[in-house]
Amino acid sequence: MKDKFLNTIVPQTAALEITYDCNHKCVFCSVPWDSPRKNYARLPELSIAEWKECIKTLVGHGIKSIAFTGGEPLLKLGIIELIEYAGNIKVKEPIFNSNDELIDYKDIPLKMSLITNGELIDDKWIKLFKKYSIDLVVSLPGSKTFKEHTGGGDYQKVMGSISKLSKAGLNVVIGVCVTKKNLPELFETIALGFLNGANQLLLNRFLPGGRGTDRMELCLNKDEVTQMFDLAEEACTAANTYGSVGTEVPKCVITKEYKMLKIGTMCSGGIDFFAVDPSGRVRPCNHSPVTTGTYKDIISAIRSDYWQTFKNRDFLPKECGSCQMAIECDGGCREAAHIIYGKIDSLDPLLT
Amino acid sequence: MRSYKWIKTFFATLLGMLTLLSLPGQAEKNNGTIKLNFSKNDLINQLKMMKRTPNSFEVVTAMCYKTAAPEKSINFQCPKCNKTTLYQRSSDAGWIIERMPYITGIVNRLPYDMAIDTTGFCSNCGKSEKKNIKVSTHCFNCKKEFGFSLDTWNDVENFGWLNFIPGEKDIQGNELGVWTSPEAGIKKGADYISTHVFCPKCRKKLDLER
Repeated sequence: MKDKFLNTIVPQTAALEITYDCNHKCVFCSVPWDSPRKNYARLPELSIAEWKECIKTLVGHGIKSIAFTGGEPLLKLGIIELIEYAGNIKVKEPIFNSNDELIDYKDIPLKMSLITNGELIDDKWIKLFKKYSIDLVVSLPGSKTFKEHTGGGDYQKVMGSISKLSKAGLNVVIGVCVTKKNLPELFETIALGFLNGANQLLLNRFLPGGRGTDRMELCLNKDEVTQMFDLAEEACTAANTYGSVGTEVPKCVITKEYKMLKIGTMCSGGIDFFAVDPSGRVRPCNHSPVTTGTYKDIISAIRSDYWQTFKNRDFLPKECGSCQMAIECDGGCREAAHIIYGKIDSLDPLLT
Repeated sequence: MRSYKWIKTFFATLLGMLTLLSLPGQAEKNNGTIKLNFSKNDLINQLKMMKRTPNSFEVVTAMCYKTAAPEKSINFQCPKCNKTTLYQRSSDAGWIIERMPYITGIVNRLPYDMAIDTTGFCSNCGKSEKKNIKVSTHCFNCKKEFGFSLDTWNDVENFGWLNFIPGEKDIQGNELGVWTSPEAGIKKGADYISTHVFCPKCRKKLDLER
């Protein structure tokens, strides 16, 4: 079967980048519209009515969960109305028997999460999140270096939000983007997040893209990535709390086994999730500046050669062509390699 | 009963005060710069004191975003009839389906004829068949067609050994992949390649049988 098969399955999760606006200016932010290369047009944002239409369309294509992101999603005028709308949508959850056979479906609410910098959260938001069981991912890129990484963010305020969300009984994941500058304080960053109530860790190594496109000096090298894993494992073990590494790493870089830290090596961009930008254009990966259509024609967007590259794993660097681990490894982040070296099958910066 | 409530309230207040004193309370603001003064051991002790039971872990693949919860099902789209069949992600079939694009990728990169048939996973085309991947290829020596199947996790993992194209190096000239290190791995890989690239007759003829 050397001919390429057109896989048109719509990923089950959509990351809805509902606004360009943000009250932080994070140095690592990967949204393509903030790239210094100015290669991504800021088309007009969808209205709330159009976002409702977008969610309805995508649910019709089988998506089961959405993540509100941005920009800072809480800055989108009318987001409360949008959350209330999405919170009342039901999707079909398959039921399997003990022989793994599909026996039936049940109606469950559309799953929702919200990715935020945490500064604007107050009791009004917490009540809303609680009502619709929304899981929160709060960005926490450092402690002492927080202000430097976020372009002026208020660390104490964000820690206060994590604490309030946790006390309200909500699931709070701390999202830590690790750069060369905040690596030395990674242990305390994670520890303080957990002590304030976060119940999971999402670790992302910094990769050039968006505002951070030309910030190669912030990238970790192989030894630093190992140090990142070790520090995170230590904090997760002490807290008896799981953590995961979001940005996939080449499997050959992982030199030890970790019990509390789950390290992803297989990219789920275009397969398990995709991104919808503030104007409704879709991309197989949130890190990518490549759009292949709009949510209105999602199937054609998925049929595009670019999206199919993700579907068929047709982007492994030739340098990985002699590795047995290619059965569950993408040789690192393909989009970061694409952005830095111009081709999607270039080497991940960790291997160069 | 009343005194018990009082004791509970007292301890709750005391715990709250201690937390305030020992947590970001130690973060001092000085000229707008936050100075955090914690020793690592203190933090470890405080983390241990939380005595948490970890949430069950659900992330399956890498995603820069942490979504509400990963989907429990996985879709298989049949390359023959295009029909979609749902599987439980945590099942054996789900595990294989997740890795199918990687298998296809390897097959497409191989320098010899190999084809895979995944229709066994289709509820339409593969109703009575075993849920596995059938691989057909031509013997590297006699060119006759032969085949094998990938039935288990182990079969799928081992299939990665075929991704061996000798001589690939990174831009610094270092050899890449597991072939650079354990000798046991090299032997296992060599065995796998000989048994999956040469037909049974030729393996005997070429003295490749162990």
